[in-house]
Amino acid sequence: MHRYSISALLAVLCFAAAAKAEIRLTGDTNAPETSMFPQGAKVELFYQVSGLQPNQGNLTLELNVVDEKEKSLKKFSLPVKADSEGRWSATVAPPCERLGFYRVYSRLSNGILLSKLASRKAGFLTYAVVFGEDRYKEYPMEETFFGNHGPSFGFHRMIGLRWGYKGKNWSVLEPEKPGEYARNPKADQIDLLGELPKWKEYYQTNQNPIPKWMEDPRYRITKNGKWVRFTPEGEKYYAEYLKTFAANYARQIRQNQVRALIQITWEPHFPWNFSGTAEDLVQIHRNAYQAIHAGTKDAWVIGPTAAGLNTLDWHRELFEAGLLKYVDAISIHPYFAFPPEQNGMVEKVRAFKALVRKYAGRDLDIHGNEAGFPTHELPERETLQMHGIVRSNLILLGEGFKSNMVFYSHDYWYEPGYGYTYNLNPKREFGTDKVAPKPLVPAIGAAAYFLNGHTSAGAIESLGDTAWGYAYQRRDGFTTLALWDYSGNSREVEIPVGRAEIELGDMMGNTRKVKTDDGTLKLTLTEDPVYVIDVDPELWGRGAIRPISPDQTKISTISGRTVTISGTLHAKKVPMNGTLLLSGDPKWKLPQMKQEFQVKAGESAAYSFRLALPGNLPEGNLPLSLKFISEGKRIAATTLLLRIKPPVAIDEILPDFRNGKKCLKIKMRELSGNETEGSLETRIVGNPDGRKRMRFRIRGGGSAEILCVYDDLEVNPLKNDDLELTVATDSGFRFKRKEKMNFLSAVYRPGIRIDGNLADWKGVPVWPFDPGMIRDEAKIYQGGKDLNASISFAWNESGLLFLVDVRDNVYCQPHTGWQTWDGDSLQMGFTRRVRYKETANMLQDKMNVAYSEIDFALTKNGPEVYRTVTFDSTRFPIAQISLKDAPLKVIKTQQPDGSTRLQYEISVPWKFLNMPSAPAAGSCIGWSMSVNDRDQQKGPRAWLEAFSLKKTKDFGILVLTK
Amino acid sequence: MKTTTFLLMLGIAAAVNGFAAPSLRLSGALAQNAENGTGFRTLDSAGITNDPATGNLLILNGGNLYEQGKDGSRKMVLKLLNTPGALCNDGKNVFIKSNQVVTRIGKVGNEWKKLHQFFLKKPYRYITIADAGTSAGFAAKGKIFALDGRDVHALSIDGKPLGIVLTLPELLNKCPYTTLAILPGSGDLLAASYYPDLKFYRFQADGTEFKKDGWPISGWVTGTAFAEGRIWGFHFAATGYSASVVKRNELPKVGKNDLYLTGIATDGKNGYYLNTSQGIKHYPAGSFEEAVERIGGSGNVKALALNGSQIVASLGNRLYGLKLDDAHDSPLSCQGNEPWRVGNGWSGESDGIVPDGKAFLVYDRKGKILWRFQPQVQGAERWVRQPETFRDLRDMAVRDGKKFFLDEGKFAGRNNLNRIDAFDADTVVVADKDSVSLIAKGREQWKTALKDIRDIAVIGAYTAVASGDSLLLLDRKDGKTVFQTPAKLEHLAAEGKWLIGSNPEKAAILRFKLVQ
Repeated sequence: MHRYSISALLAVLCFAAAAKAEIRLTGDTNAPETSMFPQGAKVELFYQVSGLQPNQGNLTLELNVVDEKEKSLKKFSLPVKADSEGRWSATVAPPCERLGFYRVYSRLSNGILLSKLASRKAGFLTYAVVFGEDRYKEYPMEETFFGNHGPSFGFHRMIGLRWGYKGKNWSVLEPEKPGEYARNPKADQIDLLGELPKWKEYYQTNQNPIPKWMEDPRYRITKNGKWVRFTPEGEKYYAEYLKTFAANYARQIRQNQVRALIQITWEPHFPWNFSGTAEDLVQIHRNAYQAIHAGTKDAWVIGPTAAGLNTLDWHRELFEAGLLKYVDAISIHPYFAFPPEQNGMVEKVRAFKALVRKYAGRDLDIHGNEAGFPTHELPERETLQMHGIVRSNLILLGEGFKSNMVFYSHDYWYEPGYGYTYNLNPKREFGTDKVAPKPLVPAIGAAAYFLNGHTSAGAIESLGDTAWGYAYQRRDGFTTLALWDYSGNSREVEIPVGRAEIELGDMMGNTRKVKTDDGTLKLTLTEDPVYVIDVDPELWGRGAIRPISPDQTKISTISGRTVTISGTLHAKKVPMNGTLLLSGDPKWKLPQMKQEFQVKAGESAAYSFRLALPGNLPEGNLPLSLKFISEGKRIAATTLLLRIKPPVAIDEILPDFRNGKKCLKIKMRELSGNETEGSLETRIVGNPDGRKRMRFRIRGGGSAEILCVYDDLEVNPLKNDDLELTVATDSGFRFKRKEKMNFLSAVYRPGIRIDGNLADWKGVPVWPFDPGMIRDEAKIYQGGKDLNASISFAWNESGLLFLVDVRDNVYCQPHTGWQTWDGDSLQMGFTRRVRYKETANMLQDKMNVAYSEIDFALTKNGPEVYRTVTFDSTRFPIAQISLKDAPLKVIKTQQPDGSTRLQYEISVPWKFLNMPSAPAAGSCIGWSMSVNDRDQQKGPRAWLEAFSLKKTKDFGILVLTK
Repeated sequence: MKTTTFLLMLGIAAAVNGFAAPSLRLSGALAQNAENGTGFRTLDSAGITNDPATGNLLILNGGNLYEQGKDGSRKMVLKLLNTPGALCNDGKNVFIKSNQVVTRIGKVGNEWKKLHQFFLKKPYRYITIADAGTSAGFAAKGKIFALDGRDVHALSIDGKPLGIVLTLPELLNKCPYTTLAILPGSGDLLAASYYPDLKFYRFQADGTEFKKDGWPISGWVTGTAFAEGRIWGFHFAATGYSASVVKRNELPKVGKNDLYLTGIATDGKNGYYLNTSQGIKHYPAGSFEEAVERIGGSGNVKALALNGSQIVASLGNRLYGLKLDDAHDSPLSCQGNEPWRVGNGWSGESDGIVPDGKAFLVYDRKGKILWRFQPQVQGAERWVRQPETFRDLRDMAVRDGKKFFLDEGKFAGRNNLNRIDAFDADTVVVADKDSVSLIAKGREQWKTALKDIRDIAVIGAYTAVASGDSLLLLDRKDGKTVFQTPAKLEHLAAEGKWLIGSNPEKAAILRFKLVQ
């Protein structure tokens, strides 16, 4: 070939290659392993572009640096001029003065985003300015709370997380046979801890993993592949091992901490991790406890390490079986729904502690060693992760937990988004060597910075109905408050701090000093906790006797009544000569009341006000303030809450059907003792047919049931609507009650048999699942062609009856048994009672509500029914249910378009709902359901959901009609 | 097949299939609270106050005075000609004051009468009246005070000029004063400044500024009124000012996002009425941030749109919002007034609004601008100018993402069309003054002759038509009238099973449900 032609050909080839090369934008920080910087360190961002045309110069690099609230802090626009190889790079100095989280949205002007890197999505990189490990003071184990769960090459130290796991376990120490370690004469020389860092940390050890040889049926009994108990021989080997291990471990770790904490089990829940009974689990702990304490007095057994705080019943069973004799402290994974306050975390923790106290006869230390929140790799969930984890840790510390470990140190692929850092090494799912922070990083670091060394000095509950906080105190008396409002709205509060000037720390750790008003701080609370640093311990410390000590900080009363506000004034070092003022928000026109006092220093005096409340106070929490004014200055103040209940209460709102029309049955009660008349208005938000007004009259102290009949109300029966009920008494009181409501009925059909002959369902209404009812966090659902379903409801003397018709483009049910929920299947939740008000008797409540969950599936073994949640494990165990007890027929047909149709004909007997026989027509059952869809054997799945399967309070109400 | 047999079979088929004729059932009236007696035509009223003698609510609307009793019943009690201004009282007398005319009204026997009226020589910036219980401070120097630049003129109750009693100090940037009041008790003069100063100042009788107890207090005060023994200042709400304003969060506040307030009155049960640009809003005790009732009419609706459950109605420059499931006396669902002006400006005039996705297309006829309006969004994205331009846009529609514009009345070869709506991206219904036609893929399918067509709207498989004194449904298939009901409606809008129509006679927006 001619030389010219060859050159030309080469040129064309090169040009073609260059033209085809993809433009790529990458970036990193000058701390590439962690992208976390101690405050004061310089931050640099490095960007590279490749794949440009040689000398290309028509693009710019657009950067937008935002904080955790997406507020733009600085923008950059850099001209991109490629070199002869089509590459370009630049260094940028972004903002870094303040502690906090920074996200840098990075893109080229032609739309190309910063490349995705492992678990970090395309389009941005992150960095954080944190305190850095040198700024965190060291405190004894008993005064250290914040910890890390997961492998870390040290980045957890930058944010002050000092608890973790350390210690070899049985599977490592005796991998081949029993006694390898226990009978080794040099066992005491085997290093169980590895090198301890110079930076002080405290450790627990998880002795749950067992060696492979222990899985032999001679040593371990299993059921469905899960642990039940050890055989006597297995127990012997376990005890032998633990005795030696505990003695050596405790001795080795003494250089680091006063005692060893040895965890025996890890989330031993049926059915995914344990198949034994409560007695089996107690026996495991008994064996371990006796062995460990025989080996050393310097180790504590901690357990049983439940998965989540919603495990009170499970704990109660274990405690009744005697577990607390065989643990020295409690360990738990305190997972909880976010936002924690609105979901009742405080109440749950207190109930848990009360349960422990009841069965142990005293309080026990409680260690949380795993709790996190998955973002599913969606940046929009990172704020919830940040707020939820920080505030739940503040709650746990405030309610008296000894420690908690934040799960997980970095993202991993199997459960996307659990990390508090991104995992930036796509080749290492666990134990990565490159991370970058999420917003939680500086926020939890700030909590650790302000509160390490502190333990709880009590909850602060009276600042307002969505305001919350705690006082925490160090051993030296230094006291810090953490306060926030979880409603999403800001709230102005006044709080006595006993200082003329006070330092405040924001959620990221930045501090500022503010002046107070004679020792009272005015603060605006938001969802971000604020730290009030070094308040007067005489006001907020443990056991502090405040100058104004109300007898009650929360008083329940009814609008229109007279309430007594009483308490004691304590004049400590100086006399209290002046006026005690009681006042409330002026918009309620509460009278301001005052009393004069002359209290000598060191003495006390009682106060009492009779406050007549107006008759039209709204239902809710009404803050009152008590201030002591002396010589024109406020020298003491406190707040308390009036919990206003309406003079007329709505006890119950239930749906009903009369003559084919949808109705509401509204039960009302008069609380003030006077006959009350007024008007009631219903509104179903967005539905004009749901608005109705009617009059009511109730005799004093009496009750009435009002029937609201809708002439022509059209609703989706498988969804809850928002119902607003407004009550206005003629005396001027007014309140609004909001509830979820649905209108769903099951028709009485004595002739239906579960036999696959669907003709007997004729005439029973069929309700389609709206495609909008899909739950698809991983965004894989492709619409009605992918999955659609409809359902019919009936009932008769044998039970509740369902006909569910599912069309699925891909039928995939690879499982049997308890895991059928994870393939194409139906999951139904039932409760016997709806809108149930819990009593203090957990067992009774449990039997009354009778909450259970049952899966229905067509497996390779045929139709299967599996109970996965039960209210009575003796009568209705978590297990497969025989089709004799719970008839199920599944008709599977292939459709012309290749999809699969599954028609499930189901009967749930009344006894499963803890009913001896069919209830009367008009009764209400709680019900919810998901139609689960899996199109591949592994990976995410989607489901259509009627109501909310995992939240019984959001279940639909199914009315039995005749 | 014989026609009779065919029709018989159709009838049988209809019976077998349960074929029911459609109808539009009247479901309710919106934006009109006439249930308790007299309703009002306009969205807002000129003013409100209490009758000091009885505490009853007095309303000035359409040049008439109305009185509302404790039972909520309302009746007209006085026709007022040549009486501009807003209502107020001084605790003893009732006045109607504008910036140039002050009228005193009262009961003579059992009848309300105009007692006295005086005209000022020129309009003043603001006029205030000292309450009858205060005789100290400035109240010793006069009864009525008029603001002219920085000068405060005093007048007697009958309008006799008493001279300038105060020249207010000059503010930075020559910021003007806009509003006055006399503080009950001390008789100090309160004067509010405009943007950017935005403060409420207090002056003692000797002219010195009172700078203690929180005064001057920052905040925009556009008007004031005396009620319940205090001065209420109006901005986005009504705030009750006291001698001390140090504890701002302890000052009573009524309302939220209520712009252009002109009056306040009590309801006799510790609640209040506010006269706002959205109508008279009732804030009962326990609900000072959420009004529970609105007194007013729909105004003269020039365009109407329904998107999901959000209704947007246009009065020209001003738009307001309602929810489909509102009651007849529900407060309007847009905040204040200013954010809902066409193009967020003061000069646009809209007579065309249609839903477009989650937003609305709004046509400003005056500016010849098409806007995309997202009421749920704040900031610059709320009003976005669209690229389309028109010579004479008569109507528009959006369906399945496709937009249809009736510019100069032309569509698919037809001229002089006034109205358009669409069943889907290929099927459109159009109307001129006396016929409705269906055009599918550019070809006319049917044409139905009617009279005096004012608007059309597609609802389900039908076209609703406001024609003459009737509301009709035409079948999509053949244009035949399948339902008719007496209703004189001007503008229609429909979504799902719901149809709304403005009724100028009732000054209401009627809501219908398609029943089949």
